[in-house]
Amino acid sequence: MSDVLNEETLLSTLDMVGGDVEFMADLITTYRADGEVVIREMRASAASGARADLQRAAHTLKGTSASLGADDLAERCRGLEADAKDGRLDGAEGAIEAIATAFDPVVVALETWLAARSGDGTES
Amino acid sequence: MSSTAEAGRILIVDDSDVNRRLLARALELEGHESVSVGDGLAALEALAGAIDRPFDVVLLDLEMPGLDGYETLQRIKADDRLRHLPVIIISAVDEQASVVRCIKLGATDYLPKPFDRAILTARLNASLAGKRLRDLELEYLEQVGHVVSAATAVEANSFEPAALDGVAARTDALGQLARTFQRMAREVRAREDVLKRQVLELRIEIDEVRQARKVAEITSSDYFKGLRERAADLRRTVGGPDEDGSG
Repeated sequence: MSDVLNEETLLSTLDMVGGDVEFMADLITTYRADGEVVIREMRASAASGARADLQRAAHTLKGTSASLGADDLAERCRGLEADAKDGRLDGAEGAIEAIATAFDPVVVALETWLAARSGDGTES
Repeated sequence: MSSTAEAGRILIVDDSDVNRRLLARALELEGHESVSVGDGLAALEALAGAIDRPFDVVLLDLEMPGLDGYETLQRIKADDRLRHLPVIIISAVDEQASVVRCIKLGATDYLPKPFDRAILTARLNASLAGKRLRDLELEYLEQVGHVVSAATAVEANSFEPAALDGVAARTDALGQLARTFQRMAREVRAREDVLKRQVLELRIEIDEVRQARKVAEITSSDYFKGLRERAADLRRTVGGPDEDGSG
C-alpha cells in the first residue's frame, strides 16, 4: 500500500459508491483533471494576491484529497488554506509547488491501488 | 429516531465535482434522487424552481465561489417557503467552528469529510424523518384551518358541507370531527328546509283566512245587504228567477 494514501479512507469511499471500481476509476480521472485546474488557480491567485480565491482553491483540493485518502496532500492544502485565510501569503508559492509536487504521486498511487483491486477483487 | 426513511429528493451543493459525484452516487445507492449544483446561487435557483417537486434535504458545502455556504444558508432560512427545509453542512474535521456557526444560522446537521457511508445514511435519514414529520404537521394544521373556516361559515350561514370533503376523508380524529360537522350541518339545513316549508304553508293559510274574513266582512255589511234586496226587487219586477235560481 502506498505511503501517500490512507487505505482505510479509500475503502470507506469505495464502500460509499457500492464497491464500483469503474466508478472509482472515473472519479480518480476527474480528481486528476480538477486537481490540475485547481493548482493552476492556486498559482494565479497567489501571483495576484487574491487571498479569498487561494483559500477556496486550497479548501477544494483539501476536501477531495481527503475523500480519496490523500491525507498528507490534504494536510498541505489545509495549511495553505489557513495561511490564505489569515493573509500569510509570503510562503504561498512554495506551499503551492509542494502541493503540485505531491499531487502526481497521489494520482498514480490511486490508479495503482484501484488497478490492484480491479485485478484480483481483493483488498491489497 | 428512524433508522430507515422513504426515498428523498436531495440537493447537493458543492463546488468540487469529485464530491458532487461521490455524494450523488452514494445517494443513488440509498434509493434517493439527487440534483447537484456547484455554487450557492445555482442552489437558490434550483430551490426556487422546484415547485412541483420540492427538495427534501440540502447537502451544503461552505467554501464555494460566488455565493458561499453561509450566505446560501442564510437566504434559505430567510425564505418562508424554504426555511423548514433541512440543511446538512458538508464540513471537514477542522471546521467545527464553522459548523457551530451554521447550526446557529439554522442548519440541521453536519456531514464530516472524508465521507462515511454509515454517517451519511444516518444523518440523511434523520433529516428526512424530521422533514416528513414537519410536512405532516403543516398539512394537519392546514386541515384544522379548514374546520375552523367551516365554523366561521356556519355562523355566517354560508357553510357548504362539501367544503370539508377533503378533511372528512381522513381516517383520524380530525376526519371524524369533519364528518360529524358535515352531518350536523346537513341535519340543521334539512330541519331549516322543513321549517321554511311549514312557514310557507302557514302563510298561505293565513292569507286564505284573511281573504275569507274580508269577504265575510263585505257580505255582512248593511250596504251589501241593501244591494241584495234591491237586486231581489228587480228580479221580481222583471219576473226573473230568485237569487237561489227558484221561482
